Amino acid sequence: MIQLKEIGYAYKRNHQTIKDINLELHPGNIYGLLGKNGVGKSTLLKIICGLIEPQGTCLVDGYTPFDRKTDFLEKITLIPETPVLPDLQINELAKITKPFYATFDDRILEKCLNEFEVPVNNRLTKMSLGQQKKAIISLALACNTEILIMDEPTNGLDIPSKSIFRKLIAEIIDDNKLILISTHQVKDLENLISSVVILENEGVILATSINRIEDKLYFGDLDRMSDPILYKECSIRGEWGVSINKTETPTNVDLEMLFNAAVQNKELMKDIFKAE
Amino acid sequence: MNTKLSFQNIQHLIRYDWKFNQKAFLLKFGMIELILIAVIVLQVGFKGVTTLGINSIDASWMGEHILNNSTLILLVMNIATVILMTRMMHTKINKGNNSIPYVMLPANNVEKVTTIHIWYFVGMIFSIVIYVFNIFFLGSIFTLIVPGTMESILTSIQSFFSDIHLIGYEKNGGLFLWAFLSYTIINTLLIYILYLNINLFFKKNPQVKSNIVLIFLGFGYLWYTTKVIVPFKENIQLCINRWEVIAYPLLFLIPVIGLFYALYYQIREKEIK
Amino acid sequence: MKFNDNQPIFIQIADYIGEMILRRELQTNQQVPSVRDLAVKLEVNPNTVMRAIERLQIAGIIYNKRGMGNFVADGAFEKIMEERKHKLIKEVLPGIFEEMHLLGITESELIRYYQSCNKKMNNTID
Repeated sequence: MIQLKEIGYAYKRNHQTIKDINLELHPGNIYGLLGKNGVGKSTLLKIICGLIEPQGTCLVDGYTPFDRKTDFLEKITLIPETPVLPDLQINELAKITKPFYATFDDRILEKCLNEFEVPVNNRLTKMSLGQQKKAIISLALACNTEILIMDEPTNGLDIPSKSIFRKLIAEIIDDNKLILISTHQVKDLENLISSVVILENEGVILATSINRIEDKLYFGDLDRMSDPILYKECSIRGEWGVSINKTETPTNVDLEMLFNAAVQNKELMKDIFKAE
Repeated sequence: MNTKLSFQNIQHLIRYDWKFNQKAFLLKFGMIELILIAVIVLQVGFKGVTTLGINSIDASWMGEHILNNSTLILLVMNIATVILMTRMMHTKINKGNNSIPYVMLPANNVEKVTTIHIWYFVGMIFSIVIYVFNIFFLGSIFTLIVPGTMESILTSIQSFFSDIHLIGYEKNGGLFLWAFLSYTIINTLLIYILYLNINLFFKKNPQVKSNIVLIFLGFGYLWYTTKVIVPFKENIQLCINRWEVIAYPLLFLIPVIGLFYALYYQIREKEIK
Repeated sequence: MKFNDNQPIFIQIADYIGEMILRRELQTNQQVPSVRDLAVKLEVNPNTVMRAIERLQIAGIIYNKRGMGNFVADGAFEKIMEERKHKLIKEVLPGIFEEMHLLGITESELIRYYQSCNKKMNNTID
């Protein structure tokens, strides 16, 4: 479990990047972390991984990440947006990484590399960007840790690879794992995400499950919407948007519309989803 | 302080480090070595031809020059190794995103710092090994041109050690070498600690500024050791005092411990922004 | 599988399984693909698949055998048939009839279109 209480961080003096972040994340979920550019998504990920020291309290399974204890580091894997690559083949990198993780699984590595069609005989520095990304994703999944943090994992992946990525994630998630994906490409991950966290500089606008969103919000035709309308857009379908769900019927959650609705109606959104 | 130390973890870290940096290290080190050998060959050759004329070069002149140059090269290699090693170490904990994999490897800060230390000493020993190799390599090459060069070199080395013997430092002859070695190490360690602190001092663009300072320090060190080490040999009788002989190894420990803590706090407080 | 925007994913998945039953791709008492296999195939969160399964369990389409998995219940075929018939009559047909009325298509024209369409379908089956 990841607990964040009154978390804040300032890269420079007198300039808080994030503030008042309160969040609780539980295993068995795939979290989609959304937010506008510069809102502090990467900062939040770094705090959870122990790369920077925040104001406030951050506890991951009872550990303070910044202490960087071995027992904590064994439980968590990070795929940064631009991975660091040595001049080695992916299998050589896997060989030296494996001893650190008791949970490491060679079969997962092999499966991922096969499905992604990573050129295993090439050195990482000699691969294309997309292939490098796929190789590193394969290695991270093979570490098989309880917590998996990914920063824009589908960036640079071609269309078939995005599909393979989704399949691999669907396969790897279970009740003991917590996956946190920070992304702008919501369409890439729409059906995998079980819970959404929408961040802004000060606080969290929304942190709840897709199920709850389906219950409380209506996504669809403007004609069938009731006030207040949280967001609307014109498309070939006509006027489509988001409003409060006053019926028993759930509708399909459109993450892009949800995001726009949240950003434009922060207070109302917080109110709708306040803890029951 | 996180005092748990797993030697298995340190083994894994060493293996990780070595594979990760192997190519970069060997390439850079190999290049430096090649350049240095070329420098000696050219320098000795040039000097021989211009100063003495190729026919009047004798084996003892050749041997002496190779030894002198090699000793100078040892010091340069020492500094080059320190710079190389420190750059590699610092990539791990100072170079922004590049440090992420290392910092996130499941090993605690004590283990990581211990590994960095081990690499540092490996580098030191490596440069000494290269020194010995160079002497024999160059000696053999130049023996082909000026016969007797290698023998002259070996004789010089022998007389250096027997000098120690002659002056009656028999019992403590080994300790003298140890004192000499630790003296060298102390100085390089002190440079490294200074480097670390300078790195912290220059917040903006620390890498470049620290390297420049390190190069100046390197020259200072060269000057200092030539001023101190050479007369040191002549003042060997001063070393007969047993307390001085014990003091050197102890003095050696202080920079090591200082270095350890400096690195430990660096890596512990390191934020990768 | 491409999901549409109109319904929550779990309902669409439940309908997808229902379709398989209707087309006899899944027989009575045959095992339904596991939650994980479906999740991987459809590229969705396994919890969403579970929700779909639950929906089908509540509707009596699927039953669960402890430790073994999910199976097609007796009478599932008929239930799905009934439900889809009901949906067609209640939701789809009124719209068609309204459109027909608007365009002035008569009852006999409709019967003719229906018969020729049926012929085409029978030909394809043969």
